[in-house]
Amino acid sequence: MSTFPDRDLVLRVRRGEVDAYGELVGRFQASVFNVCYRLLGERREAEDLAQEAFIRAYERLGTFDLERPFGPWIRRVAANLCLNRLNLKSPSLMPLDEESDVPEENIPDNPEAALEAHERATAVRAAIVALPAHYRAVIELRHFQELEYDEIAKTLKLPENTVKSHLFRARKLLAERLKYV
Amino acid sequence: MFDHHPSDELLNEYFDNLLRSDQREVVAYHLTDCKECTLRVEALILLYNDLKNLPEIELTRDLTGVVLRSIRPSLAMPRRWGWAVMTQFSLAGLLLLVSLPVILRSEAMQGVNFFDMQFLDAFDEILAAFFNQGFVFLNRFSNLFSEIFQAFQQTDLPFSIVTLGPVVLATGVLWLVGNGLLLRNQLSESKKKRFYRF
Repeated sequence: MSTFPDRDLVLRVRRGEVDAYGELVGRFQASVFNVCYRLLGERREAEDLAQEAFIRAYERLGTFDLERPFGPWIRRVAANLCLNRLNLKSPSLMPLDEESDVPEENIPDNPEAALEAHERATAVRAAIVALPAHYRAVIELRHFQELEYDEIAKTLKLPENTVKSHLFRARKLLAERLKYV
Repeated sequence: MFDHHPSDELLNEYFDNLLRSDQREVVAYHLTDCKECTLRVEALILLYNDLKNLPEIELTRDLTGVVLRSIRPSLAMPRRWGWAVMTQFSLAGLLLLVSLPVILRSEAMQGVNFFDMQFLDAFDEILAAFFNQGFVFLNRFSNLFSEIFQAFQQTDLPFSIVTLGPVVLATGVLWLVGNGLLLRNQLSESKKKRFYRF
């Protein structure tokens, strides 16, 4: 993979070099997939949505602000797609796939610690997926996309106070399920 | 100073740095003195850290190829193009059906043999014959058209020959519209999302 900055790749894509977009996909596909997986809880669907996010982003590349980083933008596109998808589904229909949460290169030397980290991550992921869709959305946008409250409100087309209230309740539910309280 | 414990909302706002400085000071002061609320904030911190440190799941397949195939204009004929082409074929077929009886009834079609080539041994003879037959072919072809035209004028048809004019014109217009649709679809199709599964 080349070391071109994301901005240069975007400019090349805008000039018609489709292959440069392949480099952007290669760089961000894992993080985009993870956004989709956290929101959907299903690998196959998350992969499809990640793929669709890149296609959608390509179509809208003209609207991308070159002064901003590409990563958060494409993850936001993916999150929006998933949120649209979630509106069509009942939260109870979404199982969580069994996944290996610890990337191989990050597995600690201590197998017990590795197992504990894996179990912890699995529990956190399961707790997120078990949340109602609107709570899951605010958790994703606040904690993973690191959006401010007003940005979340704009994304979800909700009043800011509702976003706050969703976020507090979502955190409370997560804390209860993860037995912090 | 609080008379009672701060609400969950307030603690969350404290945690998210959304409080005014005076409110923040009050909550911070309360937390130094209240074990119960300190535990509540610690639970939030634990949650925050778990979310922050949640490892990413590995992607088992590379999306690059499939995305690039989707965004490149496809050479395959999309479904909507198929409909446009079918319409064009139907219109062309209709025109042929209208004109075929007229052509078959023309005298020019009686005993026509376009390619009465003879087998010749020498190459120059073949070449000369080729050009010769070419001229013969073109001559007969032009004669055929003029004879067909005459036949149109002489034959007792159920419709006037001038009615073919609007038919041909309408077909031509529809053909052009069809091609316009094809071009429009071609432009939009390259932007349209399509899924490719492995």
